[in-house]
Amino acid sequence: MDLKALKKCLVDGDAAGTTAGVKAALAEGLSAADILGDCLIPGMEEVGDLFSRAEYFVPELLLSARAMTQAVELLKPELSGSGYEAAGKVVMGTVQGDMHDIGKKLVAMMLEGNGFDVIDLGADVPAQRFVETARESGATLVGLSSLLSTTLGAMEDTVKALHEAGLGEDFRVIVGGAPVTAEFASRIGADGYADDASSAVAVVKDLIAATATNAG
Amino acid sequence: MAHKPDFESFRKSILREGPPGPVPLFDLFADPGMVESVLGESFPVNLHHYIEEPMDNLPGEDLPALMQSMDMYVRFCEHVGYDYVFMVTGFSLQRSFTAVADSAERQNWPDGKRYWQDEDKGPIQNWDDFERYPWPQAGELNHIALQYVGSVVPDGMAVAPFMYGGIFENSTWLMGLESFSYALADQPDLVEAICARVGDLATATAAQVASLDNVGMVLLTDDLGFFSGTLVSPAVLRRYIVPHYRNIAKAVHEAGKVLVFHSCGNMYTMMDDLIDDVGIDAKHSFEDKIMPVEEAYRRWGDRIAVLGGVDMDLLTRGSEQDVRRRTREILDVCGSQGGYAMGTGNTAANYLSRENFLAMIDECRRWNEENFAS
Repeated sequence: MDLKALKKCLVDGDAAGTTAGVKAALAEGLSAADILGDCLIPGMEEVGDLFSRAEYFVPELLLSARAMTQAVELLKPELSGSGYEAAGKVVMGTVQGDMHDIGKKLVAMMLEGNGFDVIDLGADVPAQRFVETARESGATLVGLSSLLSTTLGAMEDTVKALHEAGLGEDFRVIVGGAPVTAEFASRIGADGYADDASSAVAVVKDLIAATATNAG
Repeated sequence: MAHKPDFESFRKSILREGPPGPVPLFDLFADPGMVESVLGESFPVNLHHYIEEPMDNLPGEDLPALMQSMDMYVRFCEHVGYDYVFMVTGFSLQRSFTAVADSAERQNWPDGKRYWQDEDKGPIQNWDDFERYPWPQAGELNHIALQYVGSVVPDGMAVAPFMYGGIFENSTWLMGLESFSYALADQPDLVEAICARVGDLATATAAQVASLDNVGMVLLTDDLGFFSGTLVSPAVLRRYIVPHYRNIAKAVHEAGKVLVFHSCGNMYTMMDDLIDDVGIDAKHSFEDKIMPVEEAYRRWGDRIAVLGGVDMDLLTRGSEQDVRRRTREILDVCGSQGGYAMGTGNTAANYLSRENFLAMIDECRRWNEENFAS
């Protein structure tokens, strides 16, 4: 199986081509971890880069994410017994009072495509639900979204609740959304801020790498 | 002294016809909550049913209360100092809403909820849905609110019809943005058919309302962008959406009216298309985080009018002092040479601080007195 061709199918958002390529690669004896790590995750990184350069837009992101999801479903049975570890566990959601979902969903999809285990709580999520889900799942990072000036207060309350919940030294919160700025993020005590789905992946990777370095 | 509405002066000012004069005001519309707050009175009906939901048959017994509501809008616009009354057309499509408790202090609707478009899936997912969908007929669109307002506006005041969503918005609302995105690859013929149906209805609407009594300009609203770019590629917009904008511009201009284009978000890669190909007369909606209105004025202000631009977040959470300072900053750059009107970055939304909204208006009045005192 030509992994370059498989990667191209993923970057092109060709779900049928991607799943056919994954099946062929597995049949040839490639490990699920190698297909994921050497081909599919780099493919999604390329999709993120194209989005950052305004060569890709929301539909292209969604199409590649859909292809990635279908590919990962095929790899899951083998991955589960292989000792493969996700890049990290992340809880995502739009804060209480805000129904805007698509931006946060794009971030969640891009994180999954980059090897993260993501729990997407959807929109209009109360602070306590973020706290409980982070605690129960063992997630080390929560991502909060808000599209309205009027729900920035809920975002601030949620960040506070998460920090007060004692979720561990390595626990981090990132925020984003139309009215959110880096200055606001810093003021409410968030650990990171991202402008869009692609930069959110970079911020999450940096935060998790930094905590791993500190731990090491 | 109270402002005397003069749409002709507004038109000349934004189109730079004649010497520069006092900067007029512009906003796309005002939420009912803001209208009630500024006037200090309540609407006699729940306008949600009439503004955000399609209205095939207007119950006769509702008419007196609806007329009172339209009168309130006229009084609001006159009181604030606009030269026109914004009013919704009768073009509206059935779609999927999701409701959540309104997080603003000042509510829009009696049920205390705010209604949002379902971003995931809309009523049309396939050709069967398309065929079954209750598409309105262009000849049956009912612009009763516009006709009524056009008959009661004070001398000198015009009416500015706005559609509830444009071609891109309505098409993505009908499918859901996610489904629309997949359909661009999986069912492009369905995307084309939906955009064409919506575009034809919007064009018919524009042609109908542009010829109504006292209509002075048409507000084409279509949110194309988000923070870092357009939601879909410029190529998609040029293929499915822009041709309909062109038809709308032709209809509006043939009626001798002004066409204002409103879009939120970073859609600036489309500006040359909108100016040179479509022929819009003005662009509205600016966010400081994306592009401050002064920058837009520098880039395009010699080709079209640039409208509004006081950031919604500042008007919501900032201090009155900050709002006055920002208003003056914008006017100092955009106010002296025409081609500009002062206003919010988006709308007089219910969640804005009433005091900040009125401070912006007042600061513009003061600036005009200082700079254009006769």
